[in-house]
This record gives sequence, structure tokens and C-alpha cells, in this order.
Amino acid sequence: MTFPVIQSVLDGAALAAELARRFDIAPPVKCRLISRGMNDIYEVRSAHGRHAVKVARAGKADDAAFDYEQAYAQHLADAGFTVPAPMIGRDGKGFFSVDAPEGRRQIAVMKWLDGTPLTKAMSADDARRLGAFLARLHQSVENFNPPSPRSPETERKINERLPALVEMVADDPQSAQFLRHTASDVVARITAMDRAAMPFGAIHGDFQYANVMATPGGALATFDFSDCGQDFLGRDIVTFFWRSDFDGVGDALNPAFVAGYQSIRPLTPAELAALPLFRVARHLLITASMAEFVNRIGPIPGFDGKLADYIAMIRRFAPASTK
Amino acid sequence: MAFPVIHSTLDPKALKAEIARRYVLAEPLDCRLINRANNDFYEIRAGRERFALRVAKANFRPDEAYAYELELLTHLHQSGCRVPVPLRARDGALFFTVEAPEGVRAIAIFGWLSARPFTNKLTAADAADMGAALARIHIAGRTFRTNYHRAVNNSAYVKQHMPALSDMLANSPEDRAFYLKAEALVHDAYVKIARDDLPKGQVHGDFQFANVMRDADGAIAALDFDTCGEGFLAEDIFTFIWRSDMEIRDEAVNEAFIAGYQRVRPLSEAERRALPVLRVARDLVMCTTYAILINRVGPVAGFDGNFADFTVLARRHLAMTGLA
Repeated sequence: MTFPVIQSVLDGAALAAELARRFDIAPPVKCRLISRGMNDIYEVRSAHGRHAVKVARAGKADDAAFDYEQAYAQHLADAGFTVPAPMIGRDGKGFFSVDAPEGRRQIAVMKWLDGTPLTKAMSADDARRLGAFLARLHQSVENFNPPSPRSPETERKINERLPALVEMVADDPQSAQFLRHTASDVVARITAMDRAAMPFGAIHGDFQYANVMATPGGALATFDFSDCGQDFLGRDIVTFFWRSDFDGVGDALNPAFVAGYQSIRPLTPAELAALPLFRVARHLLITASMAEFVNRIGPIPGFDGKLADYIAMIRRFAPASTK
Repeated sequence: MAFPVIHSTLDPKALKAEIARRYVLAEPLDCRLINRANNDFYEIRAGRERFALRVAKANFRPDEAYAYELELLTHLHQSGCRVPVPLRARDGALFFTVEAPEGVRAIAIFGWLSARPFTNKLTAADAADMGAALARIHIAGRTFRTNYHRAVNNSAYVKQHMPALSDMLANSPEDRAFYLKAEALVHDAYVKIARDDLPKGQVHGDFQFANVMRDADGAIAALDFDTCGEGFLAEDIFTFIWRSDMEIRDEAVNEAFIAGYQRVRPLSEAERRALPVLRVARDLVMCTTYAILINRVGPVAGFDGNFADFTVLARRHLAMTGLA
């Protein structure tokens, strides 16, 4: 009997053959795995040049949710942003699905982006520019008509993954209690927010700087829409905060990022008031996700810190009432 | 029908249940994935004890190769070398296998090494200590006896896997031609080396700095004997030097490593003559390994550079042999 598995890597040769069959790309088609994380990313070379292929993690999204993601990327591309726009297959669709041993996985061929991913080694001016870029991204999706509904479901995921985190700190009952209490409080407060109280629409979902690159021409490009969906726009701001907090540059970069954002789209008072809550929710989500998925993917960049550091960040940003 | 896969991550909960059944391990038992690469590593906590569990990649080696490796580790440990000690299962076996979707995978549990791994920041003094440790492993290997067979020969390995590299470079005809020529030249040079009666013995097979640790008492520990076997001892020197060439780029570190090695086991004249060829042979081993494994693991530490860097080294070192 086959041993149970929770993640797999598709055979590159079989994948190349499948792509050649489904997409208008000329042989020889060569796939090279360039990133193995929650999703697997391949570089595909063919007589038609280079493309990126994403093989989504099983269980991350159903086909309808993945369709939203592709439509979002296409909408941004149509609006003039440099993003990995989906390539349309011979069947007129922007992706297909296969059954992997651990479950169903969606596969999309996308435009290849040349450029250098941004890192924490950026100036406040760079962060300001990034903030303005995100605001323009948000402005551009005001007329986005998604093919199906999709929400990042941050609060549901926090609730679902929290037990794995609590189990990880089983030998520290005080931390376990703090995490349970904070998660319960934060989830309840965000769930009670009125959707009409703040700008709401399609968000990137993971606008950390590792998902933004500088193109050779000096423009900014963004990718990895795995966590996109309909949510409060302000939540995208705290995805940037999370990564800079994690890398120890939050105090230096976050104010400039927000100033840059506001130079294009001023935040409402309600949004400004909600940011601290969104921020701690983001820290809770990432920490609980790390606990949930570390046995699937092992430590990877952004998921490789010490648990104590993650929890210290949650403590730092948690509402005073839960500390 | 499930899409073909070449690698999978075993479910840690199922793995925990399986090892609880097969090994004598204290409770509470915990199993956590700590490294997913060619082989996957899990940290096992059993009561107050800590172990490393390795799930080897599928379809890569016969069972005999694992039996050889685990017996060698047991021997080296008994000889005083600091290495991960394999744990015997209830049935006395040093490993077991499971059917993963991509093929059969061998699983072994080792005692945990709590030493500190070296990085590319290591000094020449560290390199000298590491060279001496490798020489001590080679000397300890002289008394290793086993019924299993496991040979290591870089030239044969490169010949076997050159088609994969050639295929990977289908869109780079110039590089492809270089590698085919280099493989042929190194193959011929190895025929001459074999005639020179170069010393053979138990080699580690991947003595790069990331597989070497400094223990709290200053002693050197070595791990990851996944590519060990019987081969030319001097080939092992270049498993260190290849990674050093890629990431440290300081010839003084390489020289210190060789000097440290020679303090314990002086190289023969024939070995010294063969060094340039062994160096480029290691480059070719890593290039072909990249070609056969990159789609299994993606970029991982030590395998995360631009392939062009691999080619730069191979070209430089082939030129240094005078063979081209």
C-alpha cells in the first residue's frame, strides 16, 4: 500500500508534455523547477520563449477560486501593470487541474517576469514607492468583475490553524493561553466589522516585498496572487508590515510605505483605526500557518524563523486587552 | 489517474505511527519536517531524546547501498569518529522502506548531532581542522568490513548522467558541446589514474562544509554519508573544495584544507598529480547531479545558484588540467 503523503512534486517531463498538449507553445518544451514552497513554480522554455508555470498546492483553492485568481491577474495586466498574466490554453481556459497523490492541483502558464525581487535592504523612499504602487493597484480594481466570489478568509484560517500553533507551544501554557485569547478577541472584532464601513474590494493578499520585483526598466512588477480575494483594502497594507516586521525593518519602512500609499489613495479614519487589528491578525495568521504547514513544506524563506520570535511579534502588536 | 510525481513528502503523522511500531522510542513522540531536499529530514523527539530521521529519495539507490552506508557509520562511530549513529529497529534492521507514490524510499533514524554546522564564513583554520577530520575518517575506514558493495567513481557517474545534462542544455549548444568534450577528456584521464594505483578506501562522498559541524568541545563531526562508498580517497577532498569554490572563493581555504588533511594522511605522489583532474571531475559530478535532481527538489542551499556559475568553474578547472 502506498504510504500517505501530504505534498508531491510533479514529474517535470510529464508536465512539459501536458503543457505542450494544452497550450500553444512550440517544442522542445523544457520545465525546470525554480521554487518549491507552498506552490511549486517552474521555468518553462520553449521555442516561444520563457514562461512561468505555477502548480498550486492541493487544498489551497478549488477551481472556482483559482479562476478568480487568474481573472484578477489578467485584470491587472489589462490595466497596465506588469504581472504574470495567464496564458490561455487551447481550450480557452487560463488553467487546468490534475489529480496529484495528495489532492487536486491547479496549473497555470503565466507570462515570465524579468527582474529582481525586492528585499529588506530598501530605503524609505523605496517603501514609499511601493506604497504608492499598491494604492494604484487598489484603484485599478474598482471596476474588476470577478467570475466567482473569493475571500482570503483570514479569520477562518486563523481559527482552523490555531490548534496546530497551540500544540507547538504545549510546554508553555502561558503562551498557549495568550494565543487562544488574542486570536479569539481579534477574530471576533474583525468579524464584527461592517463591510460598508471601509473600502472593500479585490486585494493582492500577500503584498510583501518578496512578491514585488524591480524590472530591468526600473518599473515595479508584482506576482503571487495565491491569497487574493475580496476583503478590506487596508488588509493589503499589513501584509507589507508583516514581512518588514519579520525582517526587523518595520519601524524604518512601514511609515514611509503608508505615506506613499496615502499620496495616491488617502486612508479613511476607519481604515487607519483598523490597521493595528489587521496587523495582529496577519501575524496570527502567518504564525498559525507556519505551525500548520511546517510539516508539509519544511522551513522555507519567510517561514524559517524561531517560533519565539513570531510569538513576540504577536505580543507586541496584540490589543492591550489581551496582553 | 494520479499525475506522475517524482518526489513526495510523507505524512508526518503516519510516519510517527510507523516508527512507534518499528522502534523502541520513548513517549511523548513528536515528528517534525526540518529539511525538504533530495532526502527529507525530520526531527524526532522521543521523551528526552532527540533523533534525526531521513527519508531517502526514491529510485536512486538499491537497498544494498543504504545497508553499506549505515554499517559504515556504525563502524566509524565505533572507531571514534563523530558521526550520526544509526538506530536499530526492534527487528535489528538499520533501515526500512516504504512505497511512496514515486517509488520505494528508505527510512533510517540517527542519533541527533547537536553540533554547529559550518557555513561559508569558515576560516582557513577551520578548513585545516576539517581536512584533518576527513583524513581520520579515511584512516578509520581502512578496517571497515562489510558484505555489501558500494563503489564510487566520479568518471563513471558523470558518464552515466551526462545524457540528462545534455538534454537540459538543449537550448545552449555551446555549453552542451563543452560538457560532452570535458566528460570524454576526464574519462580518458581516469583510465590513466586507475593505472597509477591511486589509494582507494571508504569515502564520505559529500564532505562539503554544510555537512560538517563543530561540536561544543571543538571536535569535528561529519554528517550526510548519503553518497559514501569505496572510491579514490583523494576524490573526497574535492567534495569540500567544490562547495568552497562556489561560495568561499578563497584558494587559501582550499590549501589549508589539503594541508590539514596531509597532517593526518599525506597524499601520495600519484594523488598529488591527479588532483587537477579530480577537481574537474567533481565539477562535472555536480553539474550532472544538478541536471538529474533540479526538477525533484528545486533550488536548495548549495544548489541554488545560476547554472552558469557551475559552468564557469568546470571550464576554469578543465583548463587548469592541461587536458583540453
